[in-house]
Amino acid sequence: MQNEEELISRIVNGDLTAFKILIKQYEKLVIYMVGRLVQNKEDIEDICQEVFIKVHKYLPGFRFQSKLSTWIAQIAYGTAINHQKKVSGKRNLTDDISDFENYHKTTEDPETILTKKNTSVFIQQQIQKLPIHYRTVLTLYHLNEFSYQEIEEITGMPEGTVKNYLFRARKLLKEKLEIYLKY
Amino acid sequence: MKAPNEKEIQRLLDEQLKENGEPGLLSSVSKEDEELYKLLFTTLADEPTDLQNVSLAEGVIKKIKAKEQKAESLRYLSLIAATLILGLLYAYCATYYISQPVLTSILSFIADYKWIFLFIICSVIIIEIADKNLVKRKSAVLN
Repeated sequence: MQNEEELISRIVNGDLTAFKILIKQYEKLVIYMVGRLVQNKEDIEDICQEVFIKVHKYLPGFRFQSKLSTWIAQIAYGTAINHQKKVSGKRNLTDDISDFENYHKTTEDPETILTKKNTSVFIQQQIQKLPIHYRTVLTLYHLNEFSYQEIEEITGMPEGTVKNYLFRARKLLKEKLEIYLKY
Repeated sequence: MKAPNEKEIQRLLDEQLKENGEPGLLSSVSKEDEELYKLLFTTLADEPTDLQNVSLAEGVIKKIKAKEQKAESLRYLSLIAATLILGLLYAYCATYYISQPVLTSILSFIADYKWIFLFIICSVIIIEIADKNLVKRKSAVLN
């Protein structure tokens, strides 16, 4: 933490090399989060850059009331959600899972499934088809390793909702995986 | 990020099954489901392959530098404008106290040729703006 405080103080004093170090430390967190929430791949890099520009701008106001990673994730979540709202309206932000549930029935036959490279690729593709809130909690919990409390702080969702979304998302993915492995 | 170990997977699995809220579910879950969840938890911790090649540092630093440079030139231009206005005010006051007839003739000269002065000022502003935009576009193309 001492090193982090020192790094932040250098950044606040205008040291861009220090900020480059901070970007390197947290770029995966931001890239994975934005990458999972934003559907258009061409926008991901621009939004990630926007997140770090905001981090640089607001860092002087950071008071260590939370972990730096949580604070950065909060900015990344807000930026990505706002972008999604602008691009796709409110439809993609709802919990409508009917498209996902009917996925195997309507768009892919067993032959297509068999051509998928492996389970990991298959699961990544299925995650992208989940509603945005499910993708958010799955990414924050499993990929970025945040606790329920931290996810609550980042997204503003109550802890119970976070657990519920995680449970439902895992259950849906488990069912898809079951079908996938049977063929 | 890091792949979960056996203990971690078991913990997640227990948690997942407990969250269903049905007592005795843990014992009723099939071995097949357990294996599927284990595979799922391991897979969920895999880094997405399509996002591994994104690099941000250079682009962000470049944008921040450009932003700082823009703010710096704005400060510089504001300073020049303020100096110019103060200088003109000072010249006006000085001429007023030294010789009022000279001031009157200068003002009437400016009034007579106001369109020429306006044209010169507008030309300078347009050239400055055009130059800035062209330089910006050219450097963006080169980068």
